[in-house]
Amino acid sequence: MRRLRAGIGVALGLAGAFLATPAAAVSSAAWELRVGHSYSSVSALRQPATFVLSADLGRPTLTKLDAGLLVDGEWGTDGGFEFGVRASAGSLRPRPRRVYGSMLRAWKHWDPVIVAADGEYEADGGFDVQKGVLATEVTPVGGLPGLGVWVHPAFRMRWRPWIGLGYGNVFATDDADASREASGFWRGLARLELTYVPGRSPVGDGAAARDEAQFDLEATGWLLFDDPRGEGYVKAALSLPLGSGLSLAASAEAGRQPPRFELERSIGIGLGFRH
Amino acid sequence: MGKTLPQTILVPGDVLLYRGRSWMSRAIRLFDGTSVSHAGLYLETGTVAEATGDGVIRRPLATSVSTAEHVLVRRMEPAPRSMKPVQARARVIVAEGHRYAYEQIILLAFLCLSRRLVPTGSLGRFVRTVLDTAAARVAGWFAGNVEPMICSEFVFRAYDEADPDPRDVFTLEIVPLTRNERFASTLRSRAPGQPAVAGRGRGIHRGSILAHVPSAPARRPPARRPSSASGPRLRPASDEEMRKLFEAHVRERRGATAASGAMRVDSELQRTVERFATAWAGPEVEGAAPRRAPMENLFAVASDFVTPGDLLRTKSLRTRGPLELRAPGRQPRTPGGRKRRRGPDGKIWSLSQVELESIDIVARLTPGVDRNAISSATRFGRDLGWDEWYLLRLRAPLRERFHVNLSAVRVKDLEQVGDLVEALWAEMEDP
Repeated sequence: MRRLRAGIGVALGLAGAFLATPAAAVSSAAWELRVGHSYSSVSALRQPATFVLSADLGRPTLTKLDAGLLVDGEWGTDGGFEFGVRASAGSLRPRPRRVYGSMLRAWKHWDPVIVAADGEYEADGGFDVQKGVLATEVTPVGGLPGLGVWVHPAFRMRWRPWIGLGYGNVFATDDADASREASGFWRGLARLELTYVPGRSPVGDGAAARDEAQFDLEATGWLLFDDPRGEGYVKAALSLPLGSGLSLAASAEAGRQPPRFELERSIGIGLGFRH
Repeated sequence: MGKTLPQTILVPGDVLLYRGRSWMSRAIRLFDGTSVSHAGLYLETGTVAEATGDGVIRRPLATSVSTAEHVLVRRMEPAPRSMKPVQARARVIVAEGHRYAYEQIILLAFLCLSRRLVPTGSLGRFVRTVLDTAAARVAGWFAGNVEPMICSEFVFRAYDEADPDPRDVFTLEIVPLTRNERFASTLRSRAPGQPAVAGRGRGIHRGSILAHVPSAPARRPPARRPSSASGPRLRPASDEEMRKLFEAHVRERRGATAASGAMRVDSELQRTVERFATAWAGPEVEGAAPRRAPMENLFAVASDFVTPGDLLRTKSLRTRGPLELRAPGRQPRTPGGRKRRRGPDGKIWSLSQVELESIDIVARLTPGVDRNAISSATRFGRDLGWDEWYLLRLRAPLRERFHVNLSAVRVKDLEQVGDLVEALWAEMEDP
């Protein structure tokens, strides 16, 4: 295995391994536990956990892990709750760029929108910066072309926007600059999730189910009222089926994300397996 | 019985021929001299199009075969380059499927009229009971603007009308009665100016009841009124009553022989046949062009109709074998159990109705997707492209149509349309 570094600081991890974990590990009528899914993205319920090994000859083997665990259940007839923990960690990432978090989120379906309220704890890899954020988000259920459903069977693209507002506190920081936010901060956010599957939908033509190429994009922008300025983080993933459940997966991430909002850019290519 | 075929070998356009377990299935097989009593068309992944009491509908294969004793798979040979024209034609019929209705009693009535039956002491009463019951059913359908459609006729039409060319590759050649058996010349004289025998059906047997009914024309009922409202009242019988008469006929038949001669058509039977012919012709529509007299129409239809047995005999299809009725692995999920349930508002629903309404709701919420492309096996995410939150759009129309308020989490976790049907069915109670 070999790791290359480009001049602009983009890391290309070759021969990584994507571990696609089945959606539900344990389930009951009232709640469900999902392993291998990051709660940080609403579209991530079908997102596999990612584990990448990278080795240079004569150097220690490095790892990169993106994983989450989510428990969800009902909250009355119109709503639900989610509790999750997540980690973006591994020795491939410098400590300040690692992220740990946990979140309790409750959502309610008030037609035609979904309103979510959550409390989130987020920390960097060394727990040097720790924050707590109370936030509320809202998204329309549907109603516009491509909102939550393919635009058309011949053009399979869908998108979903979320906008939200959060109020947070900094529990610990070794460096005010590292935090980027002071105690009692306000943070606005807007997130766009987009999925594109090339080709026409096979529904109705009698074709058997098959794996298909898929492109996912998640772009989040934060408005930090303390600074005040905007930050953004974009994740993109492309999956190309190779057959027999195997797929070639490529991902790219760029931008700054909480809690430290440090610049991060990376590209990864790996093999995925789903059965 | 040979080795069963796994359901995974089915391809769109396969003809499925069912052997039912009911007494009426037995009667159809006995009178048609065949081993099958129902027909359906495998349309696409996991779904079958067929004529039922709820119309010509699509439903999951698992539901379709659930009551069958066995199902034979027949496939066109030589195989056309594509079966899409047959699929497309079937979808068109299914799209208007609510205009049709089918019950086995209709097929049985035509078999009683057009096949040579072994006469017994019970046969006359049995035939009269079947004809009157069928006539009442048909009259009821016409009153509701619904036309009858025999199950095998639907399959035959999907093939026959797939290509406008009358002798195209999809035409199923039905094996006719031999010249000696066929009652054709008389038919021509009964329906002057009309194509007496279109040449597609098996024909009327010269030893059948129809061959011995005098050609007295039956009167058509007045316009826009159900036919049962005119002339002698139709006397529909209960299923149990007909079953007992059939069992008696079968018992007596054992002592009879095929050489016992044709059945005698007395005046009572003749009037029953005329009542059936009148009901089958349907009410006249004011302002419409005059049609054939009811008896002439009945002769034409009876000589031309296609039975499940005809689809078994045709050489245009080749039998691939009996179908494995329980598919290994995951099936499109649809609930079993009782066939009718009461919704929270007191309305009685059949499983097929719940499925059809659910598919309608899903289709309305999915831009650009043909309603006929959706079945219980359709997956919301992969096939229709719904994200999990979009599923919540189902809740309002479900409340409106079914008066069922499914929880948001439950709706969000639905994977395929069959799950929705299952969830709704679970909210309903046995009547």
